[in-house]
Amino acid sequence: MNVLELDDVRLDLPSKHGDRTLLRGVSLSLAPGEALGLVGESGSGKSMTLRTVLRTEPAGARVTGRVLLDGRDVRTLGAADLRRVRADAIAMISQNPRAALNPVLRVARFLVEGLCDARGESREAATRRARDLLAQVGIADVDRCMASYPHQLSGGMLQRVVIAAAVASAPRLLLADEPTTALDVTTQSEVMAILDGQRREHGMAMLFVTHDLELASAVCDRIAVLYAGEIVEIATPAQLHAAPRHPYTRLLLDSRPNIAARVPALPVIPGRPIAAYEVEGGCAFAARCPWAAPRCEREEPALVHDAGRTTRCLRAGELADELAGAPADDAAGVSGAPAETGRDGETEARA
Amino acid sequence: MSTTAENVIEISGLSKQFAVGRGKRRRTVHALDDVSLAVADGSCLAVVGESGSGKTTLARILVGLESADGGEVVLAGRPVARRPRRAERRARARDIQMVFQDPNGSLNRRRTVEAAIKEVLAAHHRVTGDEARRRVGELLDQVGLRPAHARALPGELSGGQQQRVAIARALAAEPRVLVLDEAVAALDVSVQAQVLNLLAEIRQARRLTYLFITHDLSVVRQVSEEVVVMRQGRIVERGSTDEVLDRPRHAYTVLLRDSAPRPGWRPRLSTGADAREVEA
Ligand SMILES: Nc1ncnc2c1ncn2[C@@H]1O[C@H](COP(=O)(O)OP(=O)(O)OP(=O)(O)O)[C@@H](O)[C@H]1O
Ligand SMILES: Nc1ncnc2c1ncn2[C@@H]1O[C@H](COP(=O)(O)OP(=O)(O)OP(=O)(O)O)[C@@H](O)[C@H]1O
Ligand code: SF4
Ligand SMILES: [Mg+2]
Ligand SMILES: [Mg+2]
Repeated sequence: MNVLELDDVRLDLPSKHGDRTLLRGVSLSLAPGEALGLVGESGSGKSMTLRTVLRTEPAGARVTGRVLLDGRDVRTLGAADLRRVRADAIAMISQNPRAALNPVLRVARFLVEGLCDARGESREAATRRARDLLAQVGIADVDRCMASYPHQLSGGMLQRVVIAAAVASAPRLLLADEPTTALDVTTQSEVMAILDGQRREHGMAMLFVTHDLELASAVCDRIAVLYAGEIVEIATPAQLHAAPRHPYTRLLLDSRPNIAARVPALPVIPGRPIAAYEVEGGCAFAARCPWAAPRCEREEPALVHDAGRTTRCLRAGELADELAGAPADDAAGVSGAPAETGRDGETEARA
Repeated sequence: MSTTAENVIEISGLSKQFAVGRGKRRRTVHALDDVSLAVADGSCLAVVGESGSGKTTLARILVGLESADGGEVVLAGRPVARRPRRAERRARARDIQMVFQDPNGSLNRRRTVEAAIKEVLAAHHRVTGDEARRRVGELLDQVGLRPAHARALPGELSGGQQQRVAIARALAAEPRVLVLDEAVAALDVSVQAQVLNLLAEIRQARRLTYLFITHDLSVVRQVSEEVVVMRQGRIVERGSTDEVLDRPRHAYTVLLRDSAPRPGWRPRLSTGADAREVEA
């Protein structure tokens, strides 16, 4: 059975300007021990998707669809069950570690109390475990860290405290929202290795939001790409890099700065990001898609599962070859600008 | 480091300690330990380094949010007092602006995006009314936000949207020096590309100087001519970006470079260390 299943999750939020749709039917599943990457545009609904699982969406939000945790719908749980699920089944690492910690509690209090509450451990046992956990996430001076208030720690140190707290309860499911953006790459490597270990040892499943496509590829079994409140593609890292099927994915891959060489200007996706509630029929990406055909403005593409690929694009089949091909740096392993193949020119020629 | 009029920032022998804990558990953290650094006018210097190595502390001292314990800072030709008065800090805001690592903390949660940017426009350029409204729209557009975002409160924005508001706000002040502390980290790569291109254009047009703190070595390659690598409160390596990334000399820089995710990379355990600490 899947640890987590999201089935057509929609989220509408009433506002002064009428209802605003933030999620337009997100469906995904996670097997035990599996890591699913969630990438996509800033504002596309990645954090909101995680929040529907913990039921911490903004007040007044209307959520429809099902969120199954080990087969039980968390959206219909009573208060006591929900508290239990939050305490031992699901752990969350939020995008902003400072918001996750109480500013007037020292790290020791925060960690030890968490362990006592969630697992009923004695203070001594909990303190010992808290210290071990901090050492595991690469904190060198555990004493100092335990004695510190959140404002006395750097962003990266704080994030490691949150990560330590998250893995402490050996959760079934970890919701990790950009857990390593605040960390240097060396610490990032360590923290990801720890999370990897948790997956192998305890079968912890992980829903991993990140903007780092290389990182997602290295640690995730599959990657889901979100755009304007809906999933536009799900694929394995290898599939995604060698042959993305959705135009947005292709353009996203091309926008990455290259560690090996500087380019005069980074390729960007034309036009402005759009919110889920601005989508008016047709394909959400149509206004910005270099491959858009007239029907893309009228027909709404469905998420199609075909030959091991999952894509939401009316032209996925015909574009497959054109979208394939690794960006230059992947192919060569060294210098070279991200593939700029005169795409606009090609589009014009075809249209 | 030589002192020339070309340098908009000159830092020499800067040190900063923090005390943490009480009694037997009291510790002194050497957040900055004899840091000297000159930044040429109109250049972009990237600062990379270990988490907890003092990058944010350095930035906070530069903008006057923190006072140094030793050393000197000369900003735009004027020595900066170790414990600046309020008036001096205000004046300094025209020379230097900072985009914080944690946008959440730097934006007033009760203030709309528009009000937050207008406040800067009014304070630094006496721009108000229609002109201010026009400028807000322009800035939001430049960072990839919609006009409707002007009326949003920070809590109604995603992490990356908040980060872009913070960038727009700093740009509104039109400072000489912009300190960007992990300012593009929470952006997806396409929006990040747009913001990086924008920052490059603005730097060209206005001869701005950037101190670009980041953990992302690909971003370093793209934006900066020079880079310093920090560890445990000290600068362990400094050089041109190409030199440092292609032929790193310090063992820690090599470790950093090799830890950056790339095709075939796997996360692995090694040992890290926080800022150097001694018993007080
Ligand atoms: N409390 C709220 N009220 C109204 N709108 C909100 C609220 N919180 C988020 N939104 C909107 O919902 C959309 C999705 O936000 P979400 O935080 O899920 O984005 P995200 O994909 O995590 O982006 P990022 O990568 O920038 O963190 C955004 O457009 C945001 O403006
Ligand atoms: N107000 C404070 N009180 C006590 N210690 C502090 C304070 N501010 C910073 N420190 C300590 O100083 C050191 C440097 O912190 P700083 O925030 O400058 O690191 P950083 O290089 O920005 O790290 P990161 O990459 O994680 O953001 C850290 O060990 C931190 O714990
Ligand atoms: S459906 Fe059309 S507009 Fe949408 S991504 Fe596919 S080609 Fe582009
Ligand atoms: Mg988010
Ligand atoms: Mg910092």
